[in-house]
Amino acid sequence: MKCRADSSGGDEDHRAPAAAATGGGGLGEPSKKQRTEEPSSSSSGAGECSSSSASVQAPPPPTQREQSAPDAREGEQLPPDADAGGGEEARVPDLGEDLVFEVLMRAEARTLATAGCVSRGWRQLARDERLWEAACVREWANLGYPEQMLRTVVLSFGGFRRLYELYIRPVQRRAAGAPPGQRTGQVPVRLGRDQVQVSLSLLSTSFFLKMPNCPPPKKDKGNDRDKNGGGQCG
Amino acid sequence: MASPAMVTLISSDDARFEVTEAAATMSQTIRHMIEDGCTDGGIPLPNVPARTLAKVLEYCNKHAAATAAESSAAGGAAAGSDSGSSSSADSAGKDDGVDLASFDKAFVEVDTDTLYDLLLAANYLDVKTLLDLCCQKVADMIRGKTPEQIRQTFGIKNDFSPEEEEKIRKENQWAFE
Repeated sequence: MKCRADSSGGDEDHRAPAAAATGGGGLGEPSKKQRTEEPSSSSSGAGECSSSSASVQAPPPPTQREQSAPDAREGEQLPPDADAGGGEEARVPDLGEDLVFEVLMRAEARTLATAGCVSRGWRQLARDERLWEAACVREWANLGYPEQMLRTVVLSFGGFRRLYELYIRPVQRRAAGAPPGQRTGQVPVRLGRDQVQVSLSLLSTSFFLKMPNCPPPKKDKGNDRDKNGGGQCG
Repeated sequence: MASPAMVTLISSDDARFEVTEAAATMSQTIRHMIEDGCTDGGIPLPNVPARTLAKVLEYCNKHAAATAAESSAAGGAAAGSDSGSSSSADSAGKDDGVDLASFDKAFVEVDTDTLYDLLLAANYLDVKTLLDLCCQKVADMIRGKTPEQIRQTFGIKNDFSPEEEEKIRKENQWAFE
């Protein structure tokens, strides 16, 4: 969907980085804007990968001219990474960051955390708050609470990823009384409202307590003084 | 509309597909091309090979027919029978949501190569519902997998240093418990 501009007009590609730099989407969207410039190259490359993969595998469905055509294309322009990979990996097309993002938008929180351990690029991608927001909202709804309640606490936690890690998951596990390796799908037992309030206020308190010693000052002398000051305030 | 308008689509390997405009315009990319009047001699789709395009069109035909059937059922007009007979789906007139859902489910029951091709094509052609469907399928596919298994699924190289990986694994330890 975001790739349409890239694929429909060739001249669009040259302007993409400039547009991303000036940030058309306002404050909230800059990371996404930057991301859109990448797939313009990778998605076309991946398209070629997939056509060459068709010739390698020669699968049954409608073949028509495809046997001759991909050969012709391969002669013209084969993406360098396609033959470099070899074997198994050559058959996996590069989906591009945009599509991986779209996939992760539909992944559950546990998968997001795992995805963050895949590679540097994926780590960067999987830290995106929007992914965690989507996962939190879905799993929060599964717990049976109104979404408004979620929104009101998110800010105090410093984001959806932290919220999930610190709150939703523990509650899920407690509610299910389940072994740690629990699977998705089952809706856990509903907690009482008081229980939730208490957990929330405890977590908010612990977050609040962490706040004073957050930014470590640079000077050594100042460090001591600041620590003292922080102690007095708290 | 008496007889449905047809458009010709040309795959990257020069195969030609004739489809109803209703099915073709499920793709926003094609819709824009038609609106811009670039349809003479067929619409070239240089990023989509015939094998994938055939599959995408199967999806579009089915959904376009179902939409037409739905609107004709709602309107109580005879318009639906036209578009129903024009498409390859004979039973289109009686399709409902349940049927469509099971069609979708079966549609993405394919090998990963095909699924990736569909995903790329749906993205390029901008068929929103198909993109949703494929992304959800891939997301389901990697659920519960280890980082190494995800790397294999997507052909990604592990570019972490051992120390880095150790640290990051610790950060996300809860996902592996």
